[in-house]
Amino acid sequence: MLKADRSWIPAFRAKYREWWPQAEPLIREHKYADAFKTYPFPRFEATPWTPLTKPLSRATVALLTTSGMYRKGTDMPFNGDHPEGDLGFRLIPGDVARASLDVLHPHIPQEVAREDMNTVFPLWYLQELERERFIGKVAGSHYSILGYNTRAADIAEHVAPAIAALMKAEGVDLALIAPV
Amino acid sequence: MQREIEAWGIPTMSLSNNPTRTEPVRPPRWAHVRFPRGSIFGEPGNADKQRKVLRDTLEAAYAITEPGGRVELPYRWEAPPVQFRGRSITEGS
Repeated sequence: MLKADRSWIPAFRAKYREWWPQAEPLIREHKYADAFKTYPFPRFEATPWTPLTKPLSRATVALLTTSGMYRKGTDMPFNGDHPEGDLGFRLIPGDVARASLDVLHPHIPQEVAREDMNTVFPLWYLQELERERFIGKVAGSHYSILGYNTRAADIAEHVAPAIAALMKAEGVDLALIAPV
Repeated sequence: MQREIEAWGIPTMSLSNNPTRTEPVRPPRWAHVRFPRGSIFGEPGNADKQRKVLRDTLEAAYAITEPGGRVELPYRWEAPPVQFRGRSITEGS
């Protein structure tokens, strides 16, 4: 059962429709501070909560990075040029070859992640923690989104539930969310 | 994103390099790290520190028992500042 407070969404969508025509030209000129000064950031009264009941040593853990990570030659890269960002997500298998990963995120210093993917996505250290029995298991799948996205209501209503459903199907006990 | 995944019944933990932006979102559990934009687990090549950040963050996920609980991780950026859009950054976004 959904425990999320979605009461902010209608007002957000209404304000977004007013915001976007003013913001788009500013974003296209890379005047982000000016554009986001009037962004209708949602306000929340409550904090959603699902207790973590299993000890870490028995928990299955999945990673979610907002670095715009994708697999070269397999996944379509994120669209870093769209002024609203990219609403897609990429599924990163737990046995992914490290050398196949790249990031596409125009709002971070991408060269740092390219030098060492552990700066944004420490899958290989998570695997070590499984071998040390510090965590129970590394999930079979991990997730990547492009952290730049103006469409917060669509993230809440479409993207996050799709990722949550995949995590549920794999028995994920803890999602570690790593923004950039 | 974090709020919604939590709300669908999966416990979540996150990291933040920018508490001013994170607090209003009221995430369920989070750790504040003092690293620059784009390197939430610490500087490239510093395996020991990245491992510690990951381990501490996971431990905090279990230790936090109240909605909105946060921890402060003690680590600092120990490399030249990150250059981004004409700025030199050692902490925050």
